[in-house]
Amino acid sequence: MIVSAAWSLLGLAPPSDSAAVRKAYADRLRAMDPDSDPEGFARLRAARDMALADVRRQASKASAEPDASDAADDPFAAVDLPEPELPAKAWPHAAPHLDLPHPSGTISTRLGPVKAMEPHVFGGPAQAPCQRSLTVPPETFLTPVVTGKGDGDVIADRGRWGAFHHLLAQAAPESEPLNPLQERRALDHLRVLHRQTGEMTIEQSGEAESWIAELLARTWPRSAPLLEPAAAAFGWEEERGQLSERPAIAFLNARLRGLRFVEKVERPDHPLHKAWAELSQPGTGRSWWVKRGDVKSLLEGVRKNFPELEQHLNPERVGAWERKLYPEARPAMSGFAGFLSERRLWWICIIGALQALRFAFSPTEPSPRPHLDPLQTIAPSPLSPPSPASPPSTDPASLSALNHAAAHWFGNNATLDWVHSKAPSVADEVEQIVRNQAADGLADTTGHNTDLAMRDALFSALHGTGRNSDSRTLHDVQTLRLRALRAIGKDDPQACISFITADHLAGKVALPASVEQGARKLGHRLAEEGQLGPQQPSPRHQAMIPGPVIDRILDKTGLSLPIVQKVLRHGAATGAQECSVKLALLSESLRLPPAEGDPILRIE
Amino acid sequence: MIVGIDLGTTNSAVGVWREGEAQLIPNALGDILTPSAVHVGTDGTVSVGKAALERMALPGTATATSFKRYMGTDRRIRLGKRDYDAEDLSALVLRALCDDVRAATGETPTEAVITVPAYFNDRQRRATRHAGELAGLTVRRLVNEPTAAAIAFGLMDRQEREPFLVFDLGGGTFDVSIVEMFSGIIEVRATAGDNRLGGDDFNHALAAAIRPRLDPEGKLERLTPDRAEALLFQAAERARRTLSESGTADFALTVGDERLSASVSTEEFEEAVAPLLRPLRDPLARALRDSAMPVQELSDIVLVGGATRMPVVRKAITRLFGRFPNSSINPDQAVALGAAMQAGLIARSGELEEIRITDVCPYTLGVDHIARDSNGGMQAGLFSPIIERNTPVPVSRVHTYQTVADNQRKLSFGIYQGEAREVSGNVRLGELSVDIPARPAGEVTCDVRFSYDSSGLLEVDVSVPISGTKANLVIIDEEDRPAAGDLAARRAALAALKVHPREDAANQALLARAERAYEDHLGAWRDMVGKWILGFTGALDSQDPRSIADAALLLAANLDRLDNEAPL
Repeated sequence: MIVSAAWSLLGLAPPSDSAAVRKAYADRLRAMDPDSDPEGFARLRAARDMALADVRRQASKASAEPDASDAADDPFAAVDLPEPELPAKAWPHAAPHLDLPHPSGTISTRLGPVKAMEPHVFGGPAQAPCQRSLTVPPETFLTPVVTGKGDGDVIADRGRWGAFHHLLAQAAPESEPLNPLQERRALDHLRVLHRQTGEMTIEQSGEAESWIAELLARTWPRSAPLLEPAAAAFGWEEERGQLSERPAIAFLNARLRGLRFVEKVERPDHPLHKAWAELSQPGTGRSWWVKRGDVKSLLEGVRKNFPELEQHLNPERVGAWERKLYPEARPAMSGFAGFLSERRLWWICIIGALQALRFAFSPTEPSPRPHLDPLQTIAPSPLSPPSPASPPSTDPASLSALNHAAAHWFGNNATLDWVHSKAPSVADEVEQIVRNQAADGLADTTGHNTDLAMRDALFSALHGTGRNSDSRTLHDVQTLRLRALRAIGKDDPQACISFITADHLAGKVALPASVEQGARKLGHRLAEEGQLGPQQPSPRHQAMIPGPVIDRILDKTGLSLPIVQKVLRHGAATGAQECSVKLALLSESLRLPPAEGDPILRIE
Repeated sequence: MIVGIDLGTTNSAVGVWREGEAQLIPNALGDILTPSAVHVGTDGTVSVGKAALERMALPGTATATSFKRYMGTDRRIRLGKRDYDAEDLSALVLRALCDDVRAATGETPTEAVITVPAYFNDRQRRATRHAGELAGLTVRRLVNEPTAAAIAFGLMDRQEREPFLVFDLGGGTFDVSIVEMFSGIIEVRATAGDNRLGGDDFNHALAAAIRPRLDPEGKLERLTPDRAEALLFQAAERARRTLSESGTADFALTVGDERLSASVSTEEFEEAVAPLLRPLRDPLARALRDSAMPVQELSDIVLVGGATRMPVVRKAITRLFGRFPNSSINPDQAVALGAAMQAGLIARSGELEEIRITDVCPYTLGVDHIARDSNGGMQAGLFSPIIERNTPVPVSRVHTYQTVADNQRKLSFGIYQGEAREVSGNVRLGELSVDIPARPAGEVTCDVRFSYDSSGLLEVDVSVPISGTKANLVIIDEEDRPAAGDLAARRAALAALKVHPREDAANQALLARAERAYEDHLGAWRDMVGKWILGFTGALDSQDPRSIADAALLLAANLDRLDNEAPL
């Protein structure tokens, strides 16, 4: 139907408003019996929808023109980063291509933070023994959006969301999977973010959930350890196989099945375990005591169902086996991609019903509705008070290290028990870190790591508490952080950024005694007042930076306006630039009158 | 006469369009709501409603509740000496409701509008229709429950309304509809739901959380699982109702000669049911997405269904939408009122002439097909949607399919309903085959037309242009035709059941209440209740209306006093 036909079916002349369209539709609908004339009803509906769309189009055309000129004049208009070409082989071996819709970009106005990412080269997936590298396209799905105009600028809350993004997408070293500490932090962030989505409105939580899914998909395979808990918490697997399954979630669900398959096949009782061990061990050649049928099933099953798992296999051994399994074919080419294209038709013939049956079933059928929050089971919530019934399994040596760390960071008379009673979330967090380190086999003989864990927990708690406290405490906390940042210095931007985004200091950085003294005093005071609570979301998500402050930041840092704007909008910038801008912003905000400065301090 | 019936998981209600308005008909006890419960006593006598519910946890008897959850399944429930399926039990409830209408109006209902959860699939709808037929009613239309509630809400003051959202959390199902009302048109924009989420789940969650504390020694395990479950469920229901009004409640039940009791706080309850709140989100998000409606444009969040009385649910809704919901309509009665209005519409009552209602089809409908995958192989068992979910109904759509093999002589279509990409994940509604002339692959095409009407019933036509075998009409519902003779037999079997007469319903409910009180109390209290029951049954045996009435008054007064004073 064309537009003019729609208007004439409704008996209207084109420049009508939506009320007239609805009225005409209602009148015509009343005159007919939809049940006996479904086609006529469908035509009427179509005409109505088309006419309404036409009305909207006219309205937006009328209002669009002044807007366009506005945007051209606005020096703060968002800069669209060029969309990078997705490399053709971003996922080797025909792994499902992650085809996400173009970013809407609006999410950063609510959730904060995310900046474009440089292309990263991973040294392989989380557990991959082979050295094949994997190029991940630059991230454009969350370009920041600027809503401020005129002489100010709007910056968004970094908080947990930013820290989570930083940890997965930006934190160094990027060539490796998450280390145990990062993994624990990431899980912790994920748990808090999941809880925060539970507090959001339906639209916000939908956006936030998609944001997390896309972040995990983009940062695969670094995000691998987070996949299982995230999927269980958000119920992503319920979407599996649905017509409406979102692309990022379809991608993650496929990866999840692969992870589970690896987990199963690495157990000795799996029927294909021997074949798996054979193909994944290093070295060349092939063993004689592995059943060729098993190897064939495994290889074909993996290639059909979990192409990305081919990276776990040793290509030389795979090649050797292929020569044995398919002697009639030409010698295997180097690299599987060439192999696939050469023999595609042949493959299809041999992927028989047996393999389909073997692998098509879902390895573990998820329960339709998780009655247990899986994130809660991974790490005990830092919010839950320590229960006397289940004392933390701390041996005497760690206990003394913990007590020592408590005295160091909360004053001479403080012990672990004291911290437990005054600031339970801090004590829980530290104990969790120590337990994780112990589980990872990092015995803390000197007590140094425990001390650093206490330091991180204290700064994190101070930061979280300060943001949600009165103006005086806020100033005390941010002054202390400023002093710490200055001490870390501009010469170690990585440590500086890590501290800004995640309250985490790399182990080698030592703080001057005066800063430690300040942290001790402030921590002791807030703990005594019972204020030192867990990290909470910032009450605010945006703040205005007055124009004069931006001028002074320019003077102090010597950077150009576009770079400063970029940093403030979490755009791409080097670590050193970001660090110096943040330092300047913090010190300038502390000088402003509370009415103007506090909103900035509360989100920084 | 046409009646409108809300056949609910927990409670049912019936209404008629009379004197220019929808009126709900009270049952013999004077209540608008009749519990959807059926009890069969040791003598084979059937009772329905409150009397059945009161006997739910009595030892040695059988009461079926929440059987709507098994609509459209083969599951059978054993009561007394017979097995019943959900259709039979629903038919008994429908018959009791019709008796109430007959008593109130003097007319016998012959036709009905029955409401179903919007997210009921075709099989469940068909079962509901059968239940109506078993009760001797011609089902003129099945109306989606949130749509019925929207009719009641929309016609309350007949104002124009911006799009609003109906949030319908009943005993066993959860539905969401986005509805708009303008110039007398009530238009459903989108519907979504969850067939496995309702108020019952909150009871089960609470019972599961309290059970270890309530019964550390495992006394309940000595009972049959069904009975333990029933006792816990009832106790949870009582505690949940109390918690809707106060901060703590007693979770108490009596096992044999022992009383188990634990106190439960609002916080504990909220923690126990927290996992049930997240599943509320998905249907809401889906309905909003399908209707392309931003939350800010919704004018109201209308609450329907008894479970929306729970403060924890209201809190969750407030958080999800960032505003307070509208509770201006009675959540228990809106659906029945809407059904009665729909009945009036069908009867073309003058006052409703100007109203039109358009609904959507809640599920995607389509056929299975074979597709070539990216490697060139054939993949069978894929779902090819013909009518997408949330398409306005009535609707009629055609898709064309072609043969995949040379000299293929037959085309078979499996007909499915659901949202999964592979048909194995969807509900199979039927199958349809057509003979075709032998030709090379791809040369024979076939048009498949799906027509879906306002009641949610589907018709499929297949035609093959090349051979001219055009009119190959198949109505899916006809698949049950062989069962039609069966239907009469089943109706007769149900009719032969000895049912407590309606006049007797009040006395039976009272007696059941006394029996429950007997079970709930211990020692001297129990003996006293036993004596009251003996007195009352003696009066019933005398068959003298005067003395029965006196004894009933006395027993009711005694039980009231007991409820107020006893250490329950």
